[in-house]
Amino acid sequence: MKRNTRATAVVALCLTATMGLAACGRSSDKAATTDKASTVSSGKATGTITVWAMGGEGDKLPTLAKEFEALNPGVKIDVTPIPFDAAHDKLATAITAGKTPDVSQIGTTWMGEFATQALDPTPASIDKSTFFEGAQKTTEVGGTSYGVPWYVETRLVYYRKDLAAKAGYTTLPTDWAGLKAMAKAMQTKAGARWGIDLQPGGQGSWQSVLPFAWSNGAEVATADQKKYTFNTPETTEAVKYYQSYFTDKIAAKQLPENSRAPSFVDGSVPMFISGPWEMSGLNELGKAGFKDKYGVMMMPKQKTATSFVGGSDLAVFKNSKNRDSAWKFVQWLSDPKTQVKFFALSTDLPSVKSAWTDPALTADPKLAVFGKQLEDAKAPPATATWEQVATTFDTEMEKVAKSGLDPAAALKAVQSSADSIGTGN
Amino acid sequence: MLDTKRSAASKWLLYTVVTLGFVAVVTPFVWMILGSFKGQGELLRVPPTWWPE
Amino acid sequence: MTALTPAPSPVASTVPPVDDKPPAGRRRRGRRKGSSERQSRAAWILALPFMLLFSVFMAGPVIASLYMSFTDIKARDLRSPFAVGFVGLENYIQVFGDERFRKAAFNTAYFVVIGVPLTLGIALAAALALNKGITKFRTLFRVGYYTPVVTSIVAVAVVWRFLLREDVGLVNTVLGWVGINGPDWLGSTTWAMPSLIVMASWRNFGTAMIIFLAGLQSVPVMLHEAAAIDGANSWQRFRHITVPLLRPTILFVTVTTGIGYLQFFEEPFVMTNGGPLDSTISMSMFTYGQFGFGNYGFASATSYVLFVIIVCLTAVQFRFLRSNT
Repeated sequence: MKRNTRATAVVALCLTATMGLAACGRSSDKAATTDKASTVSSGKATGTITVWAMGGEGDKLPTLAKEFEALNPGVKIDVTPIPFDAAHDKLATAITAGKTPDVSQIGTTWMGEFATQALDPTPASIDKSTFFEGAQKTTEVGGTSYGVPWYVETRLVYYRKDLAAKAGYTTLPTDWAGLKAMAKAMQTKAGARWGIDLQPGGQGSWQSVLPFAWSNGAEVATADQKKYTFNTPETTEAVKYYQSYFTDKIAAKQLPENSRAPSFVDGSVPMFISGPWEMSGLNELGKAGFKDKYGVMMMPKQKTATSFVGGSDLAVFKNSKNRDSAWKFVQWLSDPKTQVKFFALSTDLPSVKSAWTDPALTADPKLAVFGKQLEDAKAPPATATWEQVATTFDTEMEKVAKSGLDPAAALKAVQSSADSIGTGN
Repeated sequence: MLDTKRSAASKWLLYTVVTLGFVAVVTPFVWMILGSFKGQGELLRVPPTWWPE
Repeated sequence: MTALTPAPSPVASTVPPVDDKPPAGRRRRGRRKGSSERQSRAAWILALPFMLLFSVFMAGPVIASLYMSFTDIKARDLRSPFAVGFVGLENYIQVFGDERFRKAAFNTAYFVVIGVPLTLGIALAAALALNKGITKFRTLFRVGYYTPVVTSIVAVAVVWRFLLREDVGLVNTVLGWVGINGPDWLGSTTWAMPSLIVMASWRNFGTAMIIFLAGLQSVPVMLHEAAAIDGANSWQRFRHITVPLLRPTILFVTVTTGIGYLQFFEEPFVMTNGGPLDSTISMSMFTYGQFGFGNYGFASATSYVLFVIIVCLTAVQFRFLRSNT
């Protein structure tokens, strides 16, 4: 008796499970939703606006928000600071649970994932041409813009002026061959151990390698973002150039952790490529007067002199209960004057072109170079699968830099992986 | 008991080994505690310092 | 054990009690039957909180992920989890076909095969030394050997990364004193994994040591004395008395350490991030990465593969190490 009941129970369980599994299925119509941007009402902002901001920006935004509250009496801005490493997961879970804030800061590489799911398209009242083109593109998914660029960063070549002079370089190189020669000269004539600190593959190295590909005219995906295009002659040429630094022993295959700034200051590795945040650390480590010992120069030109643009976007959520006021707040944050104020608070570079004419930004010659580079800086396509594909790219680049893998073979592997992962479009 | 049979030399050896093991096991922990008193620059310095300044 | 109340056996409640008493005895009969009913009802009520928590937080997710592993569900589908495609065993086939997963599986096997014996060997040696061998400062040594267990991996990782640096790391400095030129431990594909194994052993041998100490103390001294009188030396005594009596303890620590090491995640995650060149990526890290990309179906399949491997290894350990007394 007992065995029969147990057997029937097991069979019943299996049947239910199979039926449950068979019952699920994707809807065949690929909902080609082209989100339409709706308008924002005129007048002042009202009600409460909940905002999520990350890292240092999360700490500085409340100060700025108070000004907005003063301009719009009756509105309350509620800023929740979120640590950067938890932010992606927190946003993902909030979207799934339907418990999103009104406004959130969103990393440029996350737009592809979240935009069509949860974000409100940018209303026409916000002029997209006021932003740097590369930054504006980071908000665009499938042709529609979701949100605005808030602040940007781009990468330049940092170099020691005094050691460059010792190496015989009073005028700066402007092309690929010139940059490599300068790095080599740092080793042979200025006593540097390594000419330049280039990331040898690994996590995030695509930010170092792709600018060279872009400067060579390559694109990482097709214009409609339906297919990745890694395996092109232009990209292969760029990766070959990048690899040559390692094979010619100009860049180290492995540098100790956190050694970039100390090595730059003591001259053992007097060049590297990075963003504006490095400057404060270098100035502090190098002590008085070090500020004048180094400079930044634009990426070398092959066909173009393109760098990477990153930063964060600001977006309003689709199911926001205070949508109009939220957009008004975002619009205010994109105003050139506000952007300059935010720069003063956070040292984050403004994404609005006209903000750069302000004396606060023109005063520092190094910042001016960043501003110039921002005019020719690109970001990867805002696809949902970018992070996963980038990981494959990083792994192959590590093999290229550390094991001498042939760039063509590496890119072929990346392409096949990218094809199987797809762009999600 | 049984342990009295062990010679003085082997007892010394045992104590040395156990003490060396103790040092090896505890050193990273001690380094961590000392490091908590150092400034960022001193912590990353090459060659490293033992006692905080 | 004294019986305080005549506990009614389960049989008694199903078999009707002998009815030889007039209705006055009905109350007693009712109480006996009701008492056992009340006891089982009480048992269910007391077990209910745990069962609720267990089913919501443990059983529920386990079943849900089993279901997910047979579909192509991605992070975007979480709001409509049933509107996904059923793909059968395709995820599982893909798991074994993934080159990175195979590397992760090899790394995990490497870690377990070398790490478990190393950790337990050090733990047993330490336990033996601290059990009878050392008389002075015993507590100090025991506490010292146990401290790595209580450290936070994130804090410890910073220290170890510094210790293992090629140029100024303490390890290479000490090796330099004896004339050995140490390599870049965490940057080398050959030495990264051994470094992590040593670090994991350092962190975990304390727990096994404490358990071994408890097990050693249950070995009767009389047996050792008798064997010594019969002329057995220390090694023979260890092999023929201590080890057999320690078998249940050895089984326990081997199983728990094995299960823990098969899932090792923290060490490679904070020390090397799976590198260099994927030489330290573990199956758990791989699964974590896939969940991060939003490939929930594929990642669930990966975690179930790991689960099956753990179950198999544990079964094997039970087979070989169970007490045969």
